[in-house]
Amino acid sequence: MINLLVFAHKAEASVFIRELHFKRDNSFSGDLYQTQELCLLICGEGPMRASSKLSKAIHHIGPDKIQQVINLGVAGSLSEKLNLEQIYDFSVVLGEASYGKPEFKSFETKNIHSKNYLITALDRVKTTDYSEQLSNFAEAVDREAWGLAYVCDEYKLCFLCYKLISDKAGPETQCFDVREKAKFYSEKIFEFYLQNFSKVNLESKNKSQKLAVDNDLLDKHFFFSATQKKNFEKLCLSLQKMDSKLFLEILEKENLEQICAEFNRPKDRTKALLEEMQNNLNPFQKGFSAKLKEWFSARPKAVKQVQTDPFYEKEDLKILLEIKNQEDLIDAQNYLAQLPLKKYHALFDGLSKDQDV
Amino acid sequence: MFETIYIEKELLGHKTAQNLHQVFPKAELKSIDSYTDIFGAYRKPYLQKRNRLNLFLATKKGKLIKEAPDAYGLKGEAHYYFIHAFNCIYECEYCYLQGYFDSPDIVLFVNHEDILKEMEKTLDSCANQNVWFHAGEFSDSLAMSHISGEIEAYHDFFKSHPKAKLELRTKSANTRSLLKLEPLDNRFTSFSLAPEWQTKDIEHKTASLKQRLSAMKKLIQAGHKVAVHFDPVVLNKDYLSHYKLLIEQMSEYFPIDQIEYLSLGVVRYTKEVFKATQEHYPESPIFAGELITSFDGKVRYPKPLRMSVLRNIESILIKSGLQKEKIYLCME
Repeated sequence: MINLLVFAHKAEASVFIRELHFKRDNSFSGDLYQTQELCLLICGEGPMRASSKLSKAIHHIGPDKIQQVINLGVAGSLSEKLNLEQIYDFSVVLGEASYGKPEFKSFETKNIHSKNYLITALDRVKTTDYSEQLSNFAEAVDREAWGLAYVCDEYKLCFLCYKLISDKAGPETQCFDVREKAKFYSEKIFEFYLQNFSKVNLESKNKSQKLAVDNDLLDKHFFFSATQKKNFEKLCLSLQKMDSKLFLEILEKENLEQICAEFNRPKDRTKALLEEMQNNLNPFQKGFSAKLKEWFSARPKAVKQVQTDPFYEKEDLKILLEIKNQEDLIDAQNYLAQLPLKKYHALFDGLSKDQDV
Repeated sequence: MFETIYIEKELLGHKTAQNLHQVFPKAELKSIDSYTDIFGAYRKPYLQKRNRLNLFLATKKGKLIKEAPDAYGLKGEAHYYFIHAFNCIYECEYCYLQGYFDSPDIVLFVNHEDILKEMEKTLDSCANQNVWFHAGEFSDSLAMSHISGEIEAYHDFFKSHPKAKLELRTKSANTRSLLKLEPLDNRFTSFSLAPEWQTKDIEHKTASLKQRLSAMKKLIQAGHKVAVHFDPVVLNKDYLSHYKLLIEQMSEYFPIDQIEYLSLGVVRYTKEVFKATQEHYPESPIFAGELITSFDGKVRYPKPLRMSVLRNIESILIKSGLQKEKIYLCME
């Protein structure tokens, strides 16, 4: 899995390209660079251009190979709270829909604890009025992050965003030339990257490796399809939360061996195990079903089906009869007359003595 | 507590605006034309309330009072709720506000005179009937009441309209404003109570159980009417002993029969809020209960289970001295 670093301008990325020995990917029609562990994209200025370049790059690299997308570069400050030439992380990235007004869609980055928001402007912010409008929503302004976050959201990729504050957005931007200081900024951002990213990578690696259980018997004698595995992990988490002792009992050697003895095929064993876990997770539903079985299952052949509400909300019973002769009719009448309806309704009112919660 | 306080230009001279400046001196103040220019203009993730909560002081336009759904309050009386605020400073894992607004920021509406006019009209339309006005559908009624000044704003109206009843719902222990006022027979302060584990583990940042009980005791001693909501009940296998203990703890602070009414309800979700809760609190103990997705897409405990739970708690309450007619099942 690789990290994809994205910069708007090549000048911001120059130190990265040099120091990490990036090689240009000539099979890609655009500025994409690669090492063994990293990719670096120059996405250009403006959210539309950035999103189109990033989509193309993700498609080229393969979304499954990308661990996270990290947007690095410079941004203008909209707030006194941010200091010039310092690097900040952003928890939420906003877009601009029209002059000074935000897009409704916003994106959360992986840095959810950061207090700072970033807004991606449609244009360069060169007037006080414009910067004041945007300052209602965010502390800093850039020209690409929202477009990048949008694409990451579509691909369900983690997105991170770090910006060095190069200037105060507004009239000063007019005479500010980012190229003049580009090398200095690139060095600062690179330094920041080296200091911080080994830690970030490690954290996300650990998270993705987290497994629900480690059990030899399960590995050798049970077979889990992808869906069953997902279901199993979900059940493990829920059972652990509900009753950790019970959870351990279910996965105990004796219990698993008993399932193995009862069922020959690994597939059937898995099915039985999942059923047992499900039943333990829903003891009420299990007890309720047993009660209904006890009350309604012994029926004459004329009564084909007694159906209760699968959502346990309505007290109605749906009964299917098949009357072929007088005898069937009498059997059905007798059965209906003896139905324990009062008991059944009492269950729904919470007044039943049979209730075992 | 608040990062930025946005005040609508027309309200810059309002008493509450000045209060806010004093209470939150570190917050940046900004004047705006309308709160809707910012609040809800973009989707602000719910959990951002932990890092960056903003406050808006605004005038509410449109409908100020709405009819409450069936089984919202005591049977046989008309129930309405009024909108004095959006969102809450607390963070309860089951809260439906997670899926309601597009922002967790707090909006305080200060046009109480308009709300009172609407109340007057509503009372006229329900002649000869007791009419309940509930606060706290979209916010905690007391948590910020010492700043917003609304309790005082409603006092005279309810004093002169005995057929109108006011309910203030809270998970706070903020009774400062109330205790300064004379008690009214038609003003009820209702506290949401839950076993201690729930208050600690699920109802983040709210007043502790002891603080809430102590606040109730103070109000009762001063002659104010109090009520209780055991809502939502969150199930686990020890729920009954937890509720027994809770009722015992209540009795240590005040006689149970001093409670004017008590509502009972279990945790339930719309599809959207359930999804939001799963996303925000994937490890929540709420998910350990037997929640099912029902025919209408709502997520709740199966009816026989929840009714049995509610009846069991009801029975302990009655044994502890609370009259049966004071108990109602909420949303059942």
